Amino acid sequence: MIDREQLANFLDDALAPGSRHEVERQLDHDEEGLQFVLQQRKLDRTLRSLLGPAARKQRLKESIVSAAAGAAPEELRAQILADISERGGAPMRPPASSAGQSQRAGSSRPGQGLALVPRLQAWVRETFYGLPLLAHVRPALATATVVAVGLIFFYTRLQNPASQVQVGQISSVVGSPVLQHTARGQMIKAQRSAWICLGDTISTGDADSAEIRFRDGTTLQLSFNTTVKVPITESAPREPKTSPTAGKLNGSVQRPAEIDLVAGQVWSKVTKSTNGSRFVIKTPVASASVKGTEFGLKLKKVRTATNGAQPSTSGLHTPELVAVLSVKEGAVEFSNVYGNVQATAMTESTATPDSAPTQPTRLNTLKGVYTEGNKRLIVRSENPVPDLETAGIRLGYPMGWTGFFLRVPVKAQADSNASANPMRIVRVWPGSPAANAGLVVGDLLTEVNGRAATNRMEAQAPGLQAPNAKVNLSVLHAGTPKTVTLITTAHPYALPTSNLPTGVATELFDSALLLIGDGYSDGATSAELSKLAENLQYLGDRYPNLGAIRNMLAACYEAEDRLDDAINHFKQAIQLEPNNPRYHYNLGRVLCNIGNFERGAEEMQVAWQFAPSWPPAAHGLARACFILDHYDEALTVIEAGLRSNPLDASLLNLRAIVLAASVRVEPAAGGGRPRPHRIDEALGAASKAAELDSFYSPSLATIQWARGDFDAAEATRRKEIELDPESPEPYAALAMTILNRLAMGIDPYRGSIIAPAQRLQIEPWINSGQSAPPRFDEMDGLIRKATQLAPQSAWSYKNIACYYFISGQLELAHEILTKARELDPDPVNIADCYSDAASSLAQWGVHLDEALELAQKSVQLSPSTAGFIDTLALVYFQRGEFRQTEQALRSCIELGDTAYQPERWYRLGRVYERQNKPGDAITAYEKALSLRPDYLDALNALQQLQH
Amino acid sequence: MTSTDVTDTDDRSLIEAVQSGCLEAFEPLVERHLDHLHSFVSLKLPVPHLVDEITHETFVFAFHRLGTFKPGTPFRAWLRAIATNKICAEIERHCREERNRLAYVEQRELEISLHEARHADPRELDALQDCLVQVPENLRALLMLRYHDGSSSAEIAQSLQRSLAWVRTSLCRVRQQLRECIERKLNPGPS
Repeated sequence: MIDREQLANFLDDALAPGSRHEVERQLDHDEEGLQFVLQQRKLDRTLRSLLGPAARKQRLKESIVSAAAGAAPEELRAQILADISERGGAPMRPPASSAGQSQRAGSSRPGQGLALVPRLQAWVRETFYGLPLLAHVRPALATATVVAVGLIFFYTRLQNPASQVQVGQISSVVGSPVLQHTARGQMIKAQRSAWICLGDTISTGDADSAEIRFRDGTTLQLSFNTTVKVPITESAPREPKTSPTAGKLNGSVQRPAEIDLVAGQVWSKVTKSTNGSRFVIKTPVASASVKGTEFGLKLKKVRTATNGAQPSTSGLHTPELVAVLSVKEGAVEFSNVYGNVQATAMTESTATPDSAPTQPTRLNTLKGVYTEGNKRLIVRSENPVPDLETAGIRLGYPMGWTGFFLRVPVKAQADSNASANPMRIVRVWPGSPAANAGLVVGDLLTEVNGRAATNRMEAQAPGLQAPNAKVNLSVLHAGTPKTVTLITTAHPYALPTSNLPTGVATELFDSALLLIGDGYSDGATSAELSKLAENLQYLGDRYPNLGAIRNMLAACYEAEDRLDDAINHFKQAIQLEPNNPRYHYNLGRVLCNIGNFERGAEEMQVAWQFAPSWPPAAHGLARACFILDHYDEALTVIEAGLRSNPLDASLLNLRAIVLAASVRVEPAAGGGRPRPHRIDEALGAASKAAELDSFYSPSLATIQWARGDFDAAEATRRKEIELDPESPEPYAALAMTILNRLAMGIDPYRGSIIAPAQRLQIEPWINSGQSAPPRFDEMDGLIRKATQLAPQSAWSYKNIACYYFISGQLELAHEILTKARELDPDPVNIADCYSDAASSLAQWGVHLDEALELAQKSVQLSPSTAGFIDTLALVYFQRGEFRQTEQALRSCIELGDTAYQPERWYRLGRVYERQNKPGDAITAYEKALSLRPDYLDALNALQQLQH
Repeated sequence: MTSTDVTDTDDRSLIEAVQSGCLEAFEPLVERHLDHLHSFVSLKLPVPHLVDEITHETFVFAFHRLGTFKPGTPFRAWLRAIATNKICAEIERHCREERNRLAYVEQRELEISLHEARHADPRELDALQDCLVQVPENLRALLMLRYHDGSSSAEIAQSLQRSLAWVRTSLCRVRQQLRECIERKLNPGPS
């Protein structure tokens, strides 16, 4: 066991960080020592409670009793706890703070002000009678003080009568939003459950969000970088007199009559109220006024366009403030001094400071990641930790670059005999040193500089040391041994780095290596990353003006998944070197990763302006624009990037995705039709990207599928397997492609039936346990292979369970799903599997009892996922239970997943037809067509009913 | 105040009073159970700055649900059950939020505490209080300086004219003795 004295010092927090870390490291191997430490800490806490000063608990008791009696509990408690912590647990003195606090509590409860008197008297006694004053002066002074304090108290109440009127609570918090109470003026961190009062202001920053739930159930979600104020008004809906709590609180209000949106974006779900009052969100540009509905309001700055061909890189244009209203359901009045419009469900209107709100237009019903065939395009998210590919971009240290990427075979991961299982080169960057040396995807790496390489870091580290270094590689090319020598270069995306002191350069190089290593499974541990952060902090203290250190520290925090710290440190790097595009790029990247795309795009824009020919900036900005549905802007940036780097496969791939996603989106100018030709352009870009770099083949396969080139899509998936046979994803993707082909064209709502040939394939196999037809055998093999390659991956097991559900082997399916659940207990993922299986069974019209059970389970696990309710509706429909189908489809529509709303209205129409309700069916089809005018199925169905 | 000092009969009349609308009766209920619950939460929750908060939340929760409490059943046990649920939820939340930034010991402590909180032995606190009575006078003074007055080890060393090392090791020793005493009381060997 570790030396007791050392542990005593450890427990007393008397060790330097390095020694403390060392003790923790030793405790990891010393169970007895660890138990000793844990028991000591436990008793330390408990003794602090048992023997601590009684006054502290007295305060706690007062807080509890006040809260229970109906005072503002969270606020009061927070204040009391703050008072306690300020005193650090020292014996409490009741004077000013006590009176002040009681005043706060009293202001929320009529009558409690009276309770102040004895406490005030006690304080006066303690304070003045303890002073060395003349005895005859004391009573007069004390009386005067009591009167003065009383006057101040009542004056404050008169001046600000509504400041303590609670209207709601903060129901969720992400990051560190700030709350400012008018009553106190100070900014405090907004905590969950904190009360919101009239007059309060709440603000979110780059990495924050919050939700306020008003007392009537209305919710207001604040997005990133948003400030709202709850103004003090007299027209707010009051608590009903019949309420059991009526009269307890001083002027409690159901919800504020209005909200001032000072900046940012809010989304509100307004509870319908019977007293008819409206809920208004005001902005400097226009106001949105509703009775009960769900809508969003966003205040943004837009830059005036140049000639429309290319965004300016010379500097920012003067931004103009614009308010955008999006309505999910119901109706919202949107107005300013120039006019007003009535925006209805699924529409959007924009207002500027000098014009009336625009006529509402249909919301984009497609999100960017869906293509014509409703196939999802995978936009690969960036790895949060840098690898060889991105190190040169993010870390800012001039390292060598080889331009190839390896995959460690599954067998080699468990078997140290590397030569028996050489690593496969699965990616070679076009134009890289590896490509120039003649390496190709599929080569097997056997030796690096004459030594067998057992992991990726060993294989690639020699190339990292510096540009212009020679690296000898022995490979097996199509089974034939071959030796090549490559000369490393700087990464093509590397930017010039500032001169660094020698010690700093070495330290940063080591840090970069460790962070790169963290990108691999054989990389840094969390303890190593913590240690690295500590060292970098120390280095940053020594060189406080070097942005490179802050940037590296931020990258380290990012690797630790401490994204708020990472954001703060990237910002510090920018403060030190405001013109460095790398830091803006990094900040933008992390902001996008946490979902703050607006701010992320802003930072990317700055990076792009500083370095317009730097591909990462163009890629980052285009990607952010794409995610924000600004397709034309994204394409403009991509085209500009491709003019500088025409063979940049990542930009070509992104161009393909943006084009494919914008097929069904109207041109920005308005009035135009969807642009189906874009899918062909997308195919061209995706083919080129995949040809340059096979890494981008998945996008190509998805676009081929969306165009109806099913054979080509399948062939691309097979090619992916051929190039990277150790990767599990292509196997699973191919299996799903085959499965989708089987179910293709089956739309029970449209009345389509399974083709006899398909039925012949499926029925005997499902119903009588005959041997499976060849395609099912193949699917089975592919899914098993994916599972074998990713044995600890829950999705593999979910796929295989899904497959068994579909094939009717329900017991086996449940058994495998149990394994999947052990690996990933996230209920949504389990529900996803149930829903997939139920959907396939329903499409084929087999095992409908099991399908219903599975669909119901998925909805139970994730009741607010529209896709799962959609599946449930399909199952009911196939069972002929139309009333339940209607109910489920209506629930989906209410949930408001914009991507499939037209389809749901169309299906609802079909359901009404089956229920002999033609009038309702016509209304539903019209609704579907209002959302998507080119919806042919809906148009045909409508015409049939009308004629 | 140990559990034996608080009779269920006393609680019953207060609870019935609250249930019948006399809200003032809640204050003595808090008074009677606050010390015990605060120490119980301290024992089970390894996040010191949240002890007051959880204690507070437990009482307020109990107040709002007092209508569902059956008079005649042990009120203190009910409070402990509420607190245990809140402690478990808090530890889970804390683990999620702090997982990547806690030191090793804190993390292990959270893991173990979550298990322990779910299997809380209500006698542990009473045993500790009994054991405290048996602490020798000189060590009791040390404990009071530390936990009642909130003195640092350096301040205690100066006050008692002892070395810093003595203060630290003595505090460890007395806590260790208390631990052993608790173990004996909870698991008495064959006499």
